[in-house]
This record gives sequence, structure tokens and C-alpha cells, in this order.
Amino acid sequence: MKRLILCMLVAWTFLSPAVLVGVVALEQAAAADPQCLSGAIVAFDRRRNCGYFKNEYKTSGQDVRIGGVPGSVNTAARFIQLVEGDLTSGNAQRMTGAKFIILNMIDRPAGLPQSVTAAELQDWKDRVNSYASSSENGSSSFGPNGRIDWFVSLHTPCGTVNTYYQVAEDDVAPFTNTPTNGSNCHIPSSRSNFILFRDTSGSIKYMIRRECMNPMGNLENGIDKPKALNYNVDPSIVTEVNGDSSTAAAEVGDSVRFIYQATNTGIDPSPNVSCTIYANVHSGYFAAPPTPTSGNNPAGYVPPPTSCPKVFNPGLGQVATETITITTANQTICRSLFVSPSSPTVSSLGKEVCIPIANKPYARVFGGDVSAGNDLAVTPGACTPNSNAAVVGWSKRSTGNFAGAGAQFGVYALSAIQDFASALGSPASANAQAPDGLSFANTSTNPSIGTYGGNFGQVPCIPNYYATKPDITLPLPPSFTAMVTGSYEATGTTTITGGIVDRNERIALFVDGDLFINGNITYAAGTWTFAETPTLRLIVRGNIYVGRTVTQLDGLFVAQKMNASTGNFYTCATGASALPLNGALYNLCNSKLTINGAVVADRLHLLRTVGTLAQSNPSESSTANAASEVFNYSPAHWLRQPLEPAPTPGYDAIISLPPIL
Amino acid sequence: MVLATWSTKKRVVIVLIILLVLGAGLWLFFATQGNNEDSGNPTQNALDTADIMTDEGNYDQALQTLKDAEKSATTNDEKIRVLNDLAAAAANAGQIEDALSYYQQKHQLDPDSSQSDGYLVGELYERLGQTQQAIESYKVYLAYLKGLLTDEFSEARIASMTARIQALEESQ
Repeated sequence: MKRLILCMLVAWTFLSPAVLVGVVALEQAAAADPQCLSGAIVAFDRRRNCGYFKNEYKTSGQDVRIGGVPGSVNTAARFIQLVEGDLTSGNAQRMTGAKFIILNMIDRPAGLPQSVTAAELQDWKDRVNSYASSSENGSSSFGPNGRIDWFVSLHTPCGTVNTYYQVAEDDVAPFTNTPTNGSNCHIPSSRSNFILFRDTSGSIKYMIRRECMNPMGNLENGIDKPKALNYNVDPSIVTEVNGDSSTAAAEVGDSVRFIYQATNTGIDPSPNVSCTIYANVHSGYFAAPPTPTSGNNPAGYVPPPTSCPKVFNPGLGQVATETITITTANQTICRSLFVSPSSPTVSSLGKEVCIPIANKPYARVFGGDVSAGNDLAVTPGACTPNSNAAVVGWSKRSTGNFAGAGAQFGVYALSAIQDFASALGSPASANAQAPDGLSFANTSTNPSIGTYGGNFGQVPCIPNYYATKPDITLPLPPSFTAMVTGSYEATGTTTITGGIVDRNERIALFVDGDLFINGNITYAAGTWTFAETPTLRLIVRGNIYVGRTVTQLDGLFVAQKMNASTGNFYTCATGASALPLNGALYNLCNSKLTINGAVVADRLHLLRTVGTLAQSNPSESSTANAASEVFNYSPAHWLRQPLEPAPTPGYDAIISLPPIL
Repeated sequence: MVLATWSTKKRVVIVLIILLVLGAGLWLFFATQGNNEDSGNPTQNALDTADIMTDEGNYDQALQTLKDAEKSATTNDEKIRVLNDLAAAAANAGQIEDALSYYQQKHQLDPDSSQSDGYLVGELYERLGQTQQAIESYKVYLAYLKGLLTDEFSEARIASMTARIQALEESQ
């Protein structure tokens, strides 16, 4: 007995591995059913009735989803919600059905583990949404990859691939519809409802029978990955000043409108794009930077509401509008618009525009004319006129309102008269009205664009004023107030601090060099007879610089040209040199200069910055105006005979001939 | 006469072969019944054309084609078939109430089909939000399924439809 037991034990020791192996082999033989290893492939690399995950053979089963697809599922979101809910339901059939649908739709090969990774789930969602992201109407959804038709009643012929759930194997297997397996495929009028995924050409990519949620038909390729959208949203801002988009600068009182837009230059609608508006205000002039500004807005600034986030279809799309009224000059107002995303590869793109708020200062001449092109006489009456000499200002260019720069009487120029009106404020006849009625010449004008005449054939020569210096002169005293009637002389760069020319005084100052006037020079207040009229003649063979704090000069001021760098009259300076033309000029020269008399120069530099064109009006007077420089000419400046020593006499007679200007 | 000289065995074999061929031919005929080639019948042609349009996703065109075919349908069978496909086409084109109307007209001509159409009608009511009517239609269809020969396929469909009705009733 013992030997028998021992033999049995020894036998079991040697045989048990073989037994176990045999059992395993038997089990493996059952899993690798011969019918799943050979024969025609039906779908997803599986033979008929062989499961997607385990490749096990079973001919009977149930619908992939008991209850099918609820009738309420008619959008991508609901479809995803249904499948995702089944995936986590805890019900084996629901879970396996969901896994199969997800993995087959993303074209994962059969035979891999029976699970769905987070990445696979997201891939599936993205693919489904790519057929529905553009619009949905309850019957169909539309997207860049095509569309989903949620309820399509159609007949599927015999031989169409179908699927079912293998209960015992917990798997999904394919079969084909035949007349004998309950599909009614042989009856052409037989219909079922399907969910159809179609590509952009309308071809069916994937179909699911609603009654049972069985995927059917071609189950080899799944649905397409989202294609890279071709969109490119480019922001832009249009600025309008008083409704005019061509104006590059604004003035105080102007209405400025910012029109925020974005253009999709691609061929696909964009996804939802967000839009953000920023404001920045800079002192003085500021150029829009190449990199648009974002970040904090000025205190109290509230950006306008936008239509974002929104889908930008190909073409121009509106974002917002903003209108402001300008209250402060010498600053630059900027606005930025950012869109996000701008394209599949650009997460954010911005655009900034800046509009400077500038003054357009203008000069007015009352009681006299303006002439340009006159050259210094080399001999009496002989000179070489400057054919390039022009008169340029700021004018409103509006019929009935040519306010701005201009002269009350005539304007002569050998070149252009641009935005400088003649006969401005003059009680002239119907034939001599602003802006070109007294322009010489006025045969070719276009007031709407500021062309008020010019190209006059000839103008008189400028007399050699410095040549009238008497042989004997007095030295310039340290103080202007010490000057009395007489002719004074200075050499080199000279500075006078200003003062009063008393009644009956006739003062002439000849400077051989530059002159810096650092204070007001005014005729004495009060009344006088013509014989007591004070006169001042400043004849400078060089440049005249008027200090920035000077507000009034009375007399005749001549900046006589000697060479290319002389003959300039500057209405604003801080010394005997020209100020640079930069942003500092605005604050340095922000006061009005009134010259009661006349100015003769090779070039007149009008540098005062106070006032602006927008403040002008055509009825301005010499005492009530918004001009930066005012020139008042009256007979008082020539009625009194000049102080000239013999043998050069004064006037013998004065005759005024028509036209009376 | 040649047959008479053959042996009995040979004769039997030949007869069997002839019977086999005939049987296969008959099977093929019945299996493809209804899948008529273009026989020149305008109604059938319209039905086939509409099927192609539906496959291509041109539902409105399919519907219009079938509306035109309705006029050419002469026999009862043709009218039933046209109404059946009109109902499907109208549903595909999103004209749900028209689809229901076509089904009603079809069921007047072919009352038996109201049961087998129960699922399709029920889903139309669901799309309209008329849940109770949908449930009633699904119950008609469920009764139809239960009346079919019991096999694994109909049992699966019964289970599925029962669950569907239950889910709808619970949602009310």
C-alpha cells in the first residue's frame, strides 16, 4: 500500500506540471477558436462572430447597448455624454459597448487591452466634435471634418456588416446581415434609423443604428482626426477724427472714434476668440510701437464692450467702437486690441494705434499784406527773386469758413500759397473774398485742398535796409530804456532786453550780427499826434531771435540776409540760436506773440505753439483771436518819417493808388 | 434516348444535380426579390434614385423625387412603398410632422405595417418632444417584436425596446 501511495505521489510530482500545462493548453485552445483563426475577415480584422477584444467565437448575443440610443441624443455633446456615461456606468455591457465604440471610431486595432486611456478618450471626443463644432440644429451637426446626421432612416442591404454584444465573453463581435437573422435586409422597404458621420464630400464615415447602438457598415477606418483649421484672425483698429479716417492727428475739441475689428484671412471659421482692449496715454508725441502695449489701463478708463468671445468667419468682423472727445493737447492717445487665439499656432496677436493730439497754430496778419519771394536788392531795384518762396499755414478749407492762417489783405508768393488765406476778415467786395480773392496770383486755386494761389510772376526787391545806417552812430547802451532818438549800432551777437519807445522817439538800431530780443518792446501807451509817433527800426544783418517769453514787439524788424545762414526771423528762442524742432517746443513756445509793425526777413520761422486751428473762426479780430502770432500793420508805422541823416531825405510824398489794399 | 442507355446510378446523379441547380436558382430569385433592376417602372426608378440621394446625404432632393413619384404610383403596393419612403425622406429632411402624416397615410393602406413601423414612428414623436405618444408607439412595436418567431435576435430586440420604454417612462 505504501509503495502504491509512494508511486502515486512520485507520479503526481512529475505529471502535475504536465497536467497543468495540459489544462492551460486546453483553455488556450478554447480561446483561440479555429473559427477565429481562419476564414474571411468580416470587420476590424476579425472573423464573423469573433470578438474585437478577445477574438472569442460566439454566435449569439444582444444589442451593443440595451435600449439603443435615446431619442434625445441629437448633438455631439449629448452623444459624448451618453458614451462617456456608459464607460463609467459599472455595467459590463454598457462599459464594453462604450469602449468598443470609442476605440473603433478612433481606429484602434483589435486585440489590444479592453480599456480606454484618457488620451484615447480625448482623441475620440476631439474627433466627434470636429464633425459638429460649427453649428447644430437638432437634426444635423456641422463641423470642419464634415457633419453628423442624427436621424437618418435608410435601408441597409444584405451583407452589411453589423455588430453585437457577446454576453459571456463581454465583447463586441461583427456579423453580416442576412435574410434569416432578423435584419429584414432582403426587404427594400425595411428601414432603420441611423446616426451617420459624413465627411465633407457627404460620404459616410461611420454609422450607428439607433435602435440598438450597433455600429454598422464600414468599420475599418473610424472617423477622422480634427483637421488643422485654416484660420488667421488679424486685429486692426481704424481711427476717425470728426468722421474722417484720413486724418492722422486730432486737436482739442475733436471727436475721435476707434473702430476695433479683426479679419480672418483663413478659409475656416475660427473657434471662439477672445478680444481685449487696452488704453495708453503718452505725453507729447509717441509713435505706435511695433510690439503693441498690453497691461494696465489708465485710472478710470473703461474699455468699450466687445462682441467677443466670438467665431470669426473668413473676412472682416467687427469687435467694438469707442468715441472720445479730446480735451488735452500735446499728448498721444493709444489703443491696443488683442485677439486670442489668432491662429492654430499663434495664441495671441495684438495691434496698437496711436493718435497724436496736436495743436495746429496759425498766424494772422491784420492791416497788411504778406509777400514771399522778394530778394535783397544788390543794386536798387535789381535782385534775384526766390521762385521757391511759399506761404504756408493751417486753414479750415471750408466754404464760408476759411478761418485759420491768413492776411486781411493781399498775399503774394512766387511759389505756392498753401492754407494761408488772403482777404481774410476783410470787408472786401464780392470779387475779393477769402481764401483766394486777394492772392497773387489766384488764377489756379483749389480751396478744398488748401491751394489758395501763388506762382506770381514777380515781386519787388527788398531794399538794403542796412545800407541806410548813418556814418555816425551811437553805441548800443546796456539797457534798452537808455536809448532815445538816434541811430545805434552793435556788432556781433547782441542781446536786448526790451523796453518802451516813448512818444516822439525815433530809434534805429543796426546790428551787424545776430540779435536776441529778450523782452517786450512796445511803443508808449497813450495818444500822440502823427508828428509824435514813436518809431523803432531794428535792422539786423544776421538773424533775429525773439525770446520765448516775449509777447509784444512794436516796430520794424528786418533780418537782412548776408549769406545762406542769415536773414532768419525766429518768433521763439531761448538765445541767439535756433531751437530744435522737437516735442519740447510745445511747452517752450506756448504763448502768443503780437507784432505791431512789420517783419522783413529772408525766412520767417513761426514757432509759437499756443492755440490751434480748431479754435479759429472767420470773424476773428486783431484783439480777439486764437492765433499764435499776430501781425498788426497800420499807417502809424510809416506815417512818421524815419530818422535818417542827410543826405538821405525822408518821404517827399505818399500816394495810395487803386487797388486799395 | 441517351439517358435510357445510362446506368441507373448515373441517372440518379444527373437528376440530383439538376434539382440542385434549380433549387439554387429559386433561392437566388427569392433572396434578391425586390432588388429590381431598372425595369422601366417610373415609380421604382424614383424609389431607387431617392435611395441613392439618401445615401449621398441629399435628403431634400430625395424627398422631392419621391413627391413626384407619388403621382405616378398606381397600384396599392406602389403607393404603400412610396408613402413608406416618403415618410423616411421627410424624417431625414427634418420635416417630422410630414413624416408622421406619410406614415399615417401608409397605415391606412397597410394597417399591418403600423406595428413594424412602431419604432420609427416612436422616434419621430420623441424628436417632437411628445414623449407619451413615443412610448405608445414603442409599445406597439414591442408587441410586434413579441409576436415574431422567438429567436435570439428578436429576444435581444425585445430586451432593448423594453429598456427603452422604461427609460422614457422614468424620464417623464
